[in-house]
Formats: sequence, structure tokens, C-alpha cells
Amino acid sequence: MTTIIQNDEVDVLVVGSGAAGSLYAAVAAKAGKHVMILEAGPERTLNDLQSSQIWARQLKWAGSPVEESGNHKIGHNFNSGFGTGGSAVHHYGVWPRLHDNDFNTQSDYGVGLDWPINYADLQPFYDRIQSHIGLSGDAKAERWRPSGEAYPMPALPILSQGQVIAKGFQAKGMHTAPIPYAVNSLPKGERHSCIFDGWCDAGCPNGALANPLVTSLAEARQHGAKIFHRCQVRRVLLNKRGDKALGVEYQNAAGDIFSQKAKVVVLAAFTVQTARLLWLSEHEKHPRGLGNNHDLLGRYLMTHPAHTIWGLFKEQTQPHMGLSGGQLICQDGYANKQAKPNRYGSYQWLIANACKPNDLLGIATSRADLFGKKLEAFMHDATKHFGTMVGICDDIPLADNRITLSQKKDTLNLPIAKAHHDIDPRVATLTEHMVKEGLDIFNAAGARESWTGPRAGMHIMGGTVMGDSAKTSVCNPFGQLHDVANVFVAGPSLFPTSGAVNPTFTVSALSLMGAEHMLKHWSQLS
Amino acid sequence: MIKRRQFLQASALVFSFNVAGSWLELNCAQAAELKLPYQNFNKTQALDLSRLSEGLVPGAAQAGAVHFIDQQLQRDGAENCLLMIRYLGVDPPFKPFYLAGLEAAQKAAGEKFNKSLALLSDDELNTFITAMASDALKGWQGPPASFFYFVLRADAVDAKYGTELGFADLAVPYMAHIKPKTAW
Repeated sequence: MTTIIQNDEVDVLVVGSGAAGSLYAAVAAKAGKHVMILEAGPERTLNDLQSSQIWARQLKWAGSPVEESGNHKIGHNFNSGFGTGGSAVHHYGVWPRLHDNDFNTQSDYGVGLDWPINYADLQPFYDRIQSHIGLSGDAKAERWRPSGEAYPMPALPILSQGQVIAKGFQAKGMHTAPIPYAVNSLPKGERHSCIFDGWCDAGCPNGALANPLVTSLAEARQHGAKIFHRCQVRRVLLNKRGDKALGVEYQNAAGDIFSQKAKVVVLAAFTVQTARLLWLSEHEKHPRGLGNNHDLLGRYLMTHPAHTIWGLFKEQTQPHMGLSGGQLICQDGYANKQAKPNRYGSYQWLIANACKPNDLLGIATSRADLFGKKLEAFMHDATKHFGTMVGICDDIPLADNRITLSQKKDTLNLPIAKAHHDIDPRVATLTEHMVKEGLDIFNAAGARESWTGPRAGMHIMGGTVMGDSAKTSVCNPFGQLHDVANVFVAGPSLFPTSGAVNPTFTVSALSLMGAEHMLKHWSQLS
Repeated sequence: MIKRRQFLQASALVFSFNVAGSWLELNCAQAAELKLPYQNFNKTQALDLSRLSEGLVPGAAQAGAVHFIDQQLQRDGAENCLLMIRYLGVDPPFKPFYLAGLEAAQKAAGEKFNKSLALLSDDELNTFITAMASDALKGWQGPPASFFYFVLRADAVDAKYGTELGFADLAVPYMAHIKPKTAW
């Protein structure tokens, strides 16, 4: 029989050390709370972030497998991180804000879900986060930018690849602006400024890119939060009435099982694992999983449908330089989500991404049809003249796109997650439009050849969406489970709609809002 | 084109080899001198895999593509496995995938040319890979041929172009924040 070791109670137990969990931990620890973070993956430090696309793979998901299905899979293992800092350690620091029109799509367009909050509710939190982290950008150049404070740091410079491709946007009468980045253009504290060497995907060890190792997690630790690695949470423990969490049960690398009591539990294990954990936390009062009394758990799983445009230019583009997330942004296609019949969604271009020769997003993979001498010739040419940009589309939250449990089990004998995702035909039509536009832009920029590849899923959202009512959502606007108030969900799984922007800035703003709400109502929660 | 200095660097390129349970850092020449066996492939499989890798990416064999795959498969299922397959929707362990794909390729080469992969001429290998990439090899039994092509090509690209030496061959400045201790 397995022995369960009882641990002393903590104030706040955070599951996952990524962008959301670390921020909760930092806010709570600064307020004097006794904070414990359980991280399923291994410990990583800045010294582990080796500049290599081969070694970078160790940052990707290697935990419990995820069974994927559907006609547009979410790409879980590529889009998820594993270890200290979670996915945010290998995220690219592209931090645009959601727009006003992302929050009420059901009311405005009859599509998807409405958020229980508006942009105006979130704006102060965006502003505070960007001031604290130190974002770089050019707010005036972002003609589409929703209201908010200007960036505290100047924009990062536009290098040769960006300059070349920008000509295409200008020729088409479109607009570009420097990407708003959670990357230092100036030194900030102990964090250096960016040196544009294009290794963001392998993790940024000099602290220029705001990953949790140098931001929230560092602050949390400084204020006493403790993080424990290789600790897999097995379930949330509830009281007999099923209306209050008592803590969690977790298993360490040695196989020992612990019962960890906590006044508040924050689930920030990223989209798929957070939903899985709720499924695994069934209880007499929650027989179909915690947060699932209205059969909503896991539903509205989303990923940004994305297409990459590639080209070869006569100019030297130095594609290995810059940042993995790109240099320029265009959101001309954001304002009207129903610009054409049978088409839905906003989209954005991230332009002139730094590319290394190898890996999934590398130069060689862009022409997966080439091999032998043709590939060799291409590599020598493309590493000098390559250009790339990626288009990111809205996804429509569909109820049947869902995270559930598989019949298969992992090494801990727990059911693994299943993630089903289909793309809505209206979004597929939008991606086709976007690809055509992208190829036109590259031609207008003077590309001697341009091409595209298969549609891919970028970022993972939904599954434990927020809303006003338990009948329509899993969590309230602050991320609390409707059914159990001292369980907070944090991360992109809360998003009722995806928008068409990279999610980490919004994740951070929502986490700050949720964490402060938790502290404000502490006496009722504990 | 690799210059003499780079060739010398190549011969000094260090890989980790598992010898009797211990990891040794050796270059390919040292490994050959010690006649270290591959851990996951027999001699025939290794020769065929090497030939196929070379056909996909010229220079991949010398760059250590088979060593790369072999070494990473020893970490199979573990989080330290650095093969791209870990995020291509294939559940670990990955060794059965590679062995099944290689066996299918070996049989297909035998049926098409009555030769082993290792003995295919350049033209034959080119014809074979073209058919493999488009799932046009008759009687292929294993993981989809085009997917096996994609995975093996990615591994060969890693070995050839994903290291400091590969960057140098392309005249791409490596500019490491933290230089990798070993190529992989």
C-alpha cells in the first residue's frame, strides 16, 4: 500500500512554474504568504540555456504524453515547455495586447463566446505589467494598438531582413511597426539588453527576454517562495462537502506520494495539464471531474492557426540575426473579424523572424521537399537571402474541441490527456486569404521566389474558460472555479476567445488581476 | 565547401558514447578506432542508415548522423532525447519507429534495385528518396514513408547543419550566448 506523507500546510500552493504560476507566486510571496510551487519538470537555470537548436529541444514538453486528434492539431509537445519556467522559458517574448473586439465576439459577431470582462478592465493590468517587466516597442507606430501607456523602452532596431520585407508591406499600402517585445532594448536591473543573435528559441540566458527565471519566479524566490521540481500533482484534494480545496496530492521523482495542504490552490500547469488535473480530481460531489458539473471542463480548446511565408531575396538578409519572434508586426487585418462572408477572424503578421539552419522552424525545414545536392545549394543560398514571416489567425472556440482523459495511462498510472481540435471552416477560409496576402507581400518586396508550408497550431488556449455563470464557464473572471472558490486557474486556458495575438502578455495581466483578487479576498478563501 | 581547417575541426568534433554504462566523450575517429558498436543498430543497419542520411543531406554521414540518432535513442523516452521526433506527434519510445522505418526502406530498396541501401549508386539513391518522399514506394510497410523521410532528413540536417561546424560550413556566424558543451 502506498504511504502518503503529510506535509505542513502552506498558504498558496501553485502548480506549475510558468508565466502564470510564477506571477501568482511572486504576488503572494511579496504579500507575505507562505508559497510553495510544484513543478512537474526538471530544474533549469540560465546556464542550461545553450545556444543550439538541438539542445533547445530539452525545453519542450517531455511529461505525460498527450493524445491528439482532429483536423488541426494543437501541436502540444512543440508548444509546451517542461521544467522551471514552463513554456515561458522558450517563448519568444512577443507581447501584443488583445483588442477591444476580442472580448465580445458573440455579442458583436454572433461567433464564439463573450469574455466576462472587457479590454478596459484589463488595460490597467497590461499597463502595470509592462511597466514592471519593461516592454520595448513603439506605441505610436502601432496604429491599431488599443489604448494604454506607451512602452517604457524604445523599440528594438529593425535589421536587414525586416527592412527588406517591410518594402512589400509599403508597396501594398499596408503598415508595419516594431514588435512590442518583453525583451530589453535597454539594460534593466541585472537584466541585459538584447544582442540580436537569434537564439530566443533556445532560451535567453542574459535576461534580455522576460522569462520567469529572471522575472516573476526570481521575485517569488526572493520573497521566500519555494519551488520543488519533478513533483507531479495527481489531484486536488477537497473537503467532504466538495466546496473547498484542502490542498493537492503529488508524487515526487522517487515515487513518494505527498498530501500537501494549502489554503489556496492555483492551477497553472498550462492549458492541457490544468484541464487534465481537474478531470483527475473527481470527488463524490464532482463525479465527472472538478469544475465539470455543467459538462464544460476541457471544452473550447483553441490554438492559433498559423501559416509561415518564406522567400528568397536578392539582398543579404542575415536571417540568423534578430529575434525568433520577428522584428515587425502588422495588424492591419485585425479590426474587422467579418470582412467577408464565410470568413471569420482577425489576423496579424509577425515579420522577419530570426531563423537558424536547422529545427522545425529552421531554414532547411522550409523546403522539406529538397534533399541531396539541391538541399545543399539551397542552404548556402538561403542562409544569406532568406526571409520569413508568420501569419496568426483567430480561432473560433468550438464546444467539441475538448481536452478529456484517454484510456491510456502514463508512468504514474494516471490517464493521459486527449486533446481534440478541429478548425472551423470560416477560420480555414481566413488562413487561405492570409496566405495569398502574404505571398503577394513577398512578391511586392522583390522576392525572387516565395512559398508557404502547411498550416500549424501556435499557442494553446481554452479548456477552462472564464465567464459569468457556472452554466456557461468553468471559472469566474478572476480564474476561480465557480464550484470551489479557493481553487484558482491561471494561464491561457481561461481565455474564452483566442484573439489573434500571442497570449503571454494577456496571461500575465490576467494573472496579476487574479492574484490581487485572491489577496483582497483572502479572509473568505482561507 | 569545408576547408582543411574545418575538416580538422570536424575530426575533433566530440560526441558522447555510452561504453559499458559510462558516457565517454570521443570524436568519430576515436570511436572508430575503439570499434565501438552502435547501441541500437547492427552493422548492416548502420551502413544503410548512413547511406540514406548522406543521400538526404550531403555530408551528414561524416558529420555523425548515425551516431547522433544512435546516441539519442539510448536516451529514448527520456526528456534528454534531442531528436526532433519528440515533438512530431510520435509517442516514445522512438526506437521502434526508426527500426520499422529503416526495415521498410531496406526491403523497398531490395525490391526496387535488388541491392542494399548502402550499395545504391547516387542516381539510384536519388530515385529511391524521391519515391520515399512521395509515398510512391511499392510494398512499403512501416511508418508512412514520407514521414520517415521527414524525420530522417531532419536528423541529418541537425547533424550536418545544426552544429558550430555546420554553421561554419554555411558561413553563418554562430554567435552563442552559451556555447554547447557538445554538439548534442
